[in-house]
Amino acid sequence: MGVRFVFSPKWFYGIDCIFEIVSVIVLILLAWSTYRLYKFTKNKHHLYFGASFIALALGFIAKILTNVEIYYPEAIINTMGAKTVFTITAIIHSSIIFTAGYFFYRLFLLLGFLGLIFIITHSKEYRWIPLTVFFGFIITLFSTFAYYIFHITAAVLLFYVAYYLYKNWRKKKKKKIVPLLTFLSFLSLFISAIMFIFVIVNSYFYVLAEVLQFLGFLLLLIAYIILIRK
Amino acid sequence: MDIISDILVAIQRKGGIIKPTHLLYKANLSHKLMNSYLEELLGKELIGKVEKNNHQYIVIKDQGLDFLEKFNKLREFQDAFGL
Repeated sequence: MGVRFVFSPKWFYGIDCIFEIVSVIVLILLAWSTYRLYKFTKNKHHLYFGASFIALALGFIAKILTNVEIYYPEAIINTMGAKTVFTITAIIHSSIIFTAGYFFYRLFLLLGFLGLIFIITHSKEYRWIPLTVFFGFIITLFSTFAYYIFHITAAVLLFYVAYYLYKNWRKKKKKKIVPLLTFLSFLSLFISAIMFIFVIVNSYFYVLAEVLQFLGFLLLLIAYIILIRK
Repeated sequence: MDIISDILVAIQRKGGIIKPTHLLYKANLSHKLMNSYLEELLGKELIGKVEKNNHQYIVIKDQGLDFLEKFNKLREFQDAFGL
């Protein structure tokens, strides 16, 4: 069925879900802004950019639902005989939900990051999209057996995004704060992805990774607020 | 979109009212091209025409100012990600 791990320390249960709910809200706000940009420019690249944010949001929603299921399992009915049967059924049911949930979390996140890279690098190599999606799918599949494959891949993709956003910030001569915040947010997400690789060593890496990830999305939210308040 | 924004900004910077010849110079467009853009902007009611002292002027309307504000915000969003 797939190996299941709970990386979070018990005291952090639910806090990561709250962090990710905020991340989902930020991603939806960005998708909405990108859609408004598309309505102005009619440039399909802007539409695909928004779709990438939606993919990331869907990935986090899958993770939130999966984690809620892990952290708050159904109470076991204390009936003689029925307890063992119910426990086994609950475990099998949980395992399916865990595997499916984390599969979609990883798949949507990889597709989202790939979409972001494709757009911000102004790539016109559309013929590579099916192959890229296929590799994303394969990596997601293998990550079911070795979780770190996903996080290594995510780190590499986020490195590219952060690098291009860094170059973009350097190009802007005036009003650098929003491009700077955008670059710093993805830099934080990149470092968070690196921390996720080591969660099996110590659960505090999971906490650190989640905090850095949350910080990344907070920086994006601050950038968004600065933009709309101007 | 950029040219439309440039035209509206040029009018805004002149206090919201400008002569067509000044606009031609500020927007750096040919006469024919500028007229076609002005027609589009008049059709969308982002600008208007007024007559003062026997001269015709182009004025930016409230809708034009709203458009410019939204456009600038979206442009900054675009710049943030290098789109």
